[in-house]
Amino acid sequence: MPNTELARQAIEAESPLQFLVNGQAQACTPGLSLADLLEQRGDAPEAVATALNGQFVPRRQREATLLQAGDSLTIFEAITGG
Amino acid sequence: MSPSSSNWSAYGHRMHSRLLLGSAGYPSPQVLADAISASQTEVVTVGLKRSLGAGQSGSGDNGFVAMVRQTLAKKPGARLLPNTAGCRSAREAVTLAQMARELYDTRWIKLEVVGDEHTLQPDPWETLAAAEQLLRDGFEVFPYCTDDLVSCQRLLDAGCQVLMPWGAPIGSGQGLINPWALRTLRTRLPEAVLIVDAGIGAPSHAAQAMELGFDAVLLNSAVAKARDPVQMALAMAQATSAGRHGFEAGLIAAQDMATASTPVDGRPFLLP
Repeated sequence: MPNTELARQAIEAESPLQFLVNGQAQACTPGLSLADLLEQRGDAPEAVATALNGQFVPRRQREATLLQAGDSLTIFEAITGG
Repeated sequence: MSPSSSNWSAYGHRMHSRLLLGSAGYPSPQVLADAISASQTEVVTVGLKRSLGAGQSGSGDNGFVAMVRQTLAKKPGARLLPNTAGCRSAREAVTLAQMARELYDTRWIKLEVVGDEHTLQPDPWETLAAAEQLLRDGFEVFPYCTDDLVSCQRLLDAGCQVLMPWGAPIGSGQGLINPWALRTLRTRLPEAVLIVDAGIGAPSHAAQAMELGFDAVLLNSAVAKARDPVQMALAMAQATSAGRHGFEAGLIAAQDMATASTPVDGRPFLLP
């Protein structure tokens, strides 16, 4: 097997998952929950609301929601409005 | 003592002020707080936006929403009314409403599904589809809609108790561009709670809506963008109240020709 292919496989094996957070690609490790991600970001749990692939994820389900490669997560926060 | 106009209610929640105020576009949180106080409003609209980045949630709006919450906390019975601004489909609006319910801890939702980018005209089909879903999910829906009678009737049929037809396009300040349609809505839908939402630019516009028998008005830009938002909030409160008093008192019928208001029968004239 050529060295380049071995290198590619090695990178893939160690490469974290890629998913989108508010449209921006982000890496994460397998098994990362939505609650974990918010904690990593420093978002207070009650200060944000979340939707995964267009579906609302209630606060109580964040712990059990694992982020997968290709997921699109949107995180919303309060703002003024008319 | 001045007479007090009647109370009104939306989804069973009784209120006195008939002015609902938007919270966007104010020069500072303090001006917003002062405008809320001056307006005497009991309902303030708020929104949702995508979080800017890690660790910035709750701070990206420079404290405006915190100030709204703090100001309303001093007013017993006052409520937030989150909106679904920016949505283009029923699916988007339902998801955003679910997030708003969690974030603001309220079943109230101002349903806003726009169908045209230039006029920001509500999409009647998507609005109805979203309203049906949200009502099934236990929301109390305040749909932003046009003044079209039939689409308003459909929203009522779906279970909406409140309708919020536009007076004019959002932020345009044109006032009530189709008073006939609004008057028709009031006449044909006597049981509905009707709120003119959008397009009001001057206190006289708010008064006109109230004189037509609307239950309330919702406005934002007219106050937020005024040179003195706090004074304009007071003006809007007074105009809304004056218009309601006028409606309850009963406007005289307009007529083409003059009718002397001073009685002249038996009056002694100086000249023959």
